[in-house]
Amino acid sequence: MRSLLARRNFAIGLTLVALVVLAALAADWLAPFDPVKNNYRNRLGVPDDVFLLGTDRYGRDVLSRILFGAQVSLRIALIVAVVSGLAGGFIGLVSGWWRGVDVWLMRVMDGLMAFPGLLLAIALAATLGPSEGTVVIALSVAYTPRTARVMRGAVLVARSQDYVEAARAVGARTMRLLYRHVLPACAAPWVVQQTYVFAIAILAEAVLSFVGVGPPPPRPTLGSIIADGRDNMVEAPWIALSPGVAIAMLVLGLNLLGDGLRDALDPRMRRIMR
Amino acid sequence: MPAIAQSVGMQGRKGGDVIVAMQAAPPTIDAQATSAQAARNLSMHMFESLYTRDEQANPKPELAEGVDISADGLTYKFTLRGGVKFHNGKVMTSADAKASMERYAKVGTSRDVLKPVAAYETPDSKTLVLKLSAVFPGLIEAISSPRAPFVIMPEEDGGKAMGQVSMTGTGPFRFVEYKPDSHVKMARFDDYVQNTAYEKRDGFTGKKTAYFDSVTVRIMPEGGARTAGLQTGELHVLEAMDVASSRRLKDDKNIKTYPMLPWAFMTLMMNNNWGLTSRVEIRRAIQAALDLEEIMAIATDGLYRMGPAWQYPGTTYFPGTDGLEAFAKQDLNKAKALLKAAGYNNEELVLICDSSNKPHLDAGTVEAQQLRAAGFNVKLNVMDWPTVYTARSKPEGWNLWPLMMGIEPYEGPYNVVGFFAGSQSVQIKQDAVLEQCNQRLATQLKLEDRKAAVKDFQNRIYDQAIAVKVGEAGIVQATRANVMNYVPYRIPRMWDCWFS
Amino acid sequence: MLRLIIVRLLAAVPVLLVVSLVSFGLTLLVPGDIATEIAGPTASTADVERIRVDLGLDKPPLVRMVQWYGGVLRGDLGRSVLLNQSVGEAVLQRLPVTLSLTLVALTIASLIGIPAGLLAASKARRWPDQAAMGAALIGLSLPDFWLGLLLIWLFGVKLGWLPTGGFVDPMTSFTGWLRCIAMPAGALALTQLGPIARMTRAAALEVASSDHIRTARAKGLTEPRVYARHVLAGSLVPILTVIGIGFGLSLGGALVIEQVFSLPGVGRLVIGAVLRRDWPIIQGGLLLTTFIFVAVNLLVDLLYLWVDPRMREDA
Repeated sequence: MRSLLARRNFAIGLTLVALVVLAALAADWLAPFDPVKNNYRNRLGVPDDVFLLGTDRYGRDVLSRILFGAQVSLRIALIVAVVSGLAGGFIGLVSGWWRGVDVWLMRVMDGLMAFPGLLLAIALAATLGPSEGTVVIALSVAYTPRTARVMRGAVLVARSQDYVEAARAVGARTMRLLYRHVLPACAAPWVVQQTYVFAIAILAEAVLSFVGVGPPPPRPTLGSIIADGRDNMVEAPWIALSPGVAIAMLVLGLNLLGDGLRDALDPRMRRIMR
Repeated sequence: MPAIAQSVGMQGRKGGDVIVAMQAAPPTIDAQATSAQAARNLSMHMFESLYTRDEQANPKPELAEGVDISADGLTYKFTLRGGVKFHNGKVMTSADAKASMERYAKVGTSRDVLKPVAAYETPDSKTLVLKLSAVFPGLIEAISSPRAPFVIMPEEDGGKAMGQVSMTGTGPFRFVEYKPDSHVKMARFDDYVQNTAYEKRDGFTGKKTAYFDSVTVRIMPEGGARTAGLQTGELHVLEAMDVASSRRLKDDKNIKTYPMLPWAFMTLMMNNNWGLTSRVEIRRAIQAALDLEEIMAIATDGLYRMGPAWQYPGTTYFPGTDGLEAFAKQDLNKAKALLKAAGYNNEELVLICDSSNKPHLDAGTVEAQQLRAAGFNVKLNVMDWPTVYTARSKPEGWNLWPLMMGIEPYEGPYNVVGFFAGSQSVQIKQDAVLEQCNQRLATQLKLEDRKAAVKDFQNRIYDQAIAVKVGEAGIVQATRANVMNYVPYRIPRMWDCWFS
Repeated sequence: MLRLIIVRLLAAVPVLLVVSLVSFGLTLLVPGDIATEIAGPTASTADVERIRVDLGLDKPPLVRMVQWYGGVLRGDLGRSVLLNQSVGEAVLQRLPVTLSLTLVALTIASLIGIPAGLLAASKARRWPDQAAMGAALIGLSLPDFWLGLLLIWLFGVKLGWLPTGGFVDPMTSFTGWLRCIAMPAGALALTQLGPIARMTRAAALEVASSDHIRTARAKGLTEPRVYARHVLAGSLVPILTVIGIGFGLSLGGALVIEQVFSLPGVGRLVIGAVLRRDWPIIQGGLLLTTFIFVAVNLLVDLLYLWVDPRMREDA
């Protein structure tokens, strides 16, 4: 089952993600300049041997901003993956096991899924003020329904397994059953799903920052660097270009990791995952 | 030289659809009901007023031939121009003017200035008389302002609620259609009656000639897309171009750029009522801690000039800058000394700032950095415009608020001084001296006395550090090179220019 | 079949209720209203307060809520003062823009994604497979708004082939419409292409190993024909599902793409409404778009029945 292809994809994915994560973690040492320091004399500088990726409209070093921006973007996406994973996992578990509440919970999840996450984020930013926390809340709310659906599917499969049915028949306690048999069976699809959520959250955070409801300036995120560059797309395309490449590398890596995990853990999981 | 060129080689040519790009959507296209720039861009093409402003922003007649003001200052008798036609073909009479002014008193944004008017009378079809119950020497300045213009519309529209008017005016272009989020289209009004009292276009008034067949004003929020559109020729005129882009495109032969300086006051408003900024020593420390030039350089991308006065140099009410040099210079030692004397103990200074307007955001960001460097514990709250506006309207919860004042200083002193007076003053806490200055400005019949009031206002603002005037910002308007005879102004005027 | 439609439409009611309650909750929480927008940036607080009273915005929220739900039951979604339009009118005016954008994007994505997926399946684990799947995955990983900016820069500014923004009604000028929609639809398509190609490949691999495909091969059909006819037919259900999901996602993605390309669509309507606090548009617009979302999913389900008659039994 562990095809060569899967392992190679996994390796490529891991390399890409590790590259970006390590660069972000080491931003303090790697970044050649202060990412929020304006340098009025050096605005919209073409990439050269001092400013490797050029400078933006405030004369800030784009490379340094990408390194620090990746830190913020990664942190947000990681928290979103964990929070939506816990919330969605719990709702999915309840929904899949206690069939009585299933219909109601899933209707609420459908409603949330139909509600555009971007609008929720704009509204939250207006209420609470834009911050990393606001972005995390908006995206966690937006992605909880997906995880809940995947988890519910996995629980439904698990509870129909012979050994689980047998254990229930002999009167095993619910909590023990869930803990011993159902949760372990759901772990693999959960991990894979949250890897994808991680990837989607990176993209979504970029959209929110682009629209102007991300973490407030001057601290960079990958999306806000693109937003800063968009008014100067014609004269200085490098400002928006390189953070987009960083996002693409990261998301591609995460998607490859997700695919690799999925193929390695259980090929049948495709039926549950969409 | 330019005069010769104009009379010999520069004959206007009729025809063409000119496409103008503006960044924001108008909140309403009802000219009287909003002071938004986006609405002004449209209204001033389609509508005219009794009085408006000339190239130097002085009040000048437009639909009126002139005004006779009685010696006691209580009766204003406007003589209307004869034969002026509305877009629906009707000839304008005093009944239309009366209905329009009465409507303004009900729904107009600046309706407060009409409060002293006790009666509107029309002794004949060419005369409108305004009877005042109290003297208000600023009346002509007020009703000639394009801020939320006092436009004249047909009598039938007089009773219409906000946003329900038929969009019929007397201007050189007539309304065709409005597709929200897409565009507004206007067509040349071929029966337009020129004001022959003038030789040529002059500010919002003058002898206007429309050459373009139609004007399409497109609403494009993305600055990059606007610049790109101008470069490719899809757009012909930009209301405002990114300053950095305009520098790069200086040598592009297809594009002409027109810097407008001054365009607006950059200010930093302070809440004199709440928290740290309720104490004058702290406000003085803030003024001393700021490097105004750096704020301007970054917020305007280099298109600015410094000027501490609360009126533009060269205008009627300019109070001079004597004694202001000391205030306008950054002095970190002074700031720290003031803070120490005030017993500052790291209390939080809340700076609210909106993200919808780039210069506001840039100024707020730099100000926060500078104040931190001077030892303040600054909390920077960046929010969208309605949230910031709601926050700043509250008497508590904020200390500092960066604000650009565009149209008010252009109008003259009334809305600048008025902004700091009354129960809803911007600094929240009313100041007796400022109230008195505002009162004098509104009621003194002699110009010298009103000028003195503006000077006293300015001195008080600096003495008590009520607010900070950071500097004067510019903008860049831009056209394709084939748009001839264009002159930049408060809006991109599409009359008296043409395609080569 | 009729029963399925009725059941599904009834099931949409609680979803719509959740959406409207969330949007109503936001009106209570989010500060500011249209009065600040109408008055202009430097208006005094007194001016704004006066406009608020003129427009009846000072009424208590519960009163407004009751009035609003009453209106919805009568089929009246309210009126936007800023646009001087009813909510229904405003949304219906923008809907063709957003729908044409998403439909063109999905058509492009399907026309490329499905053949690419079939090709990948037929050459499974060989280089065409890896190339196609690699490309699909890269497309999936690009931020669409960023791609839009790059497209504007390349095709709009550098090459000058396509307009950099705006919208032309296809009834006015079909080529004009096509030129306006090409770049935004292309950017949006790239993100949808990946899932479609990947799902097609996965489904095709499963179908290709089934008995009736082996029969088709045994009959001597060439491999491309087997894939084009039989494998594709057998894989349609999962492909349709992923396209249906893609439709919902594209509606969301269109929000930002419309902004980047200055398209007057529903997304810009709603974002603009949030930024200007035009609540009737936010509430009514969300309700209508949610309904469209539900209706499209229902349409996809009905398509299943048409594609795969066996499923009629289950329904």
